[in-house]
Amino acid sequence: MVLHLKFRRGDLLALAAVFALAVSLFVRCTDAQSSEPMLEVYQDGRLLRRIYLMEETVFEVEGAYLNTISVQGGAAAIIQSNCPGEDCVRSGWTKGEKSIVCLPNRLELRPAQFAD
Amino acid sequence: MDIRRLVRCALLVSLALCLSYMENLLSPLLLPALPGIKLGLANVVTLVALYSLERGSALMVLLLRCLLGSIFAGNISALLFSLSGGLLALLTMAIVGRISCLSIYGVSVLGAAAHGCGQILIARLIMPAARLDLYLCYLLLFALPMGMATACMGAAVARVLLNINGGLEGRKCVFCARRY
Repeated sequence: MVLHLKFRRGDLLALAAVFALAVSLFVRCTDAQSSEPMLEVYQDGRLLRRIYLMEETVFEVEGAYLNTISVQGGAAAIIQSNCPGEDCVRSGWTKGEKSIVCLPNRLELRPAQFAD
Repeated sequence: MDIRRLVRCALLVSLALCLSYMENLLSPLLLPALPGIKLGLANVVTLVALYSLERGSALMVLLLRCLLGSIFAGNISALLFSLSGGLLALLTMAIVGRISCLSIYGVSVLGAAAHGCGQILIARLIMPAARLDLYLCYLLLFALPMGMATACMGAAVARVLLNINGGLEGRKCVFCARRY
């Protein structure tokens, strides 16, 4: 190890390299966020599962009430619910631009972006 | 084992433990808005160890510091993170320290950046689903000022140890007895 105590020209290069790495990571993250829409299913504030909007699936989440969630054609919705009011069903479909909430069942379909 | 080497290592380990303990107390006060950002005071010790001791001793100081530090903090799960960050930082600094156009400042900043990368690497292995790229970006940005700050302290320590005001040539380090 060579000990240099004064700032040298190579240091500037090292600083610039770290900064460039940080910036390129930031750009890559923000790019990836717009490309792969995902939803996170929360119940009682707990993350139950993540779903890619590209997949096609139907599943049920049971709590105080029963919600049936469908994912197809790049969108997701609560298509059936036995909760009073059924506001969640009437919220319609989300393509990852909004949340869909079933308050009586304490369920939320929350948009999430997966940077990977 | 040479008794001088043993004493030097022991001094550095205890110094690093004191510094990281102080830092854990102080950083919530000094940097309250920046979770996960640390000054890296213990990294000053790694720097000094790398420059003044042989590499094997620097590695030993780091391993002992991580192990004892996480035991004293009562947080064994942090051991993995401090080890991965510390080892990657040590490796990086040992390599870039041989480049003659880098001073202690460049070496320290690259070490700080490597520390963040090492921690994110382990975090990715433990929690593959977590979104960490953005966090790494934030760690790297803060590696710049924090690495510079630790380098300033390292340089100050080196100046005292070498007892110099001017050049380095022919000075003898009071800690490791090496001639520069």
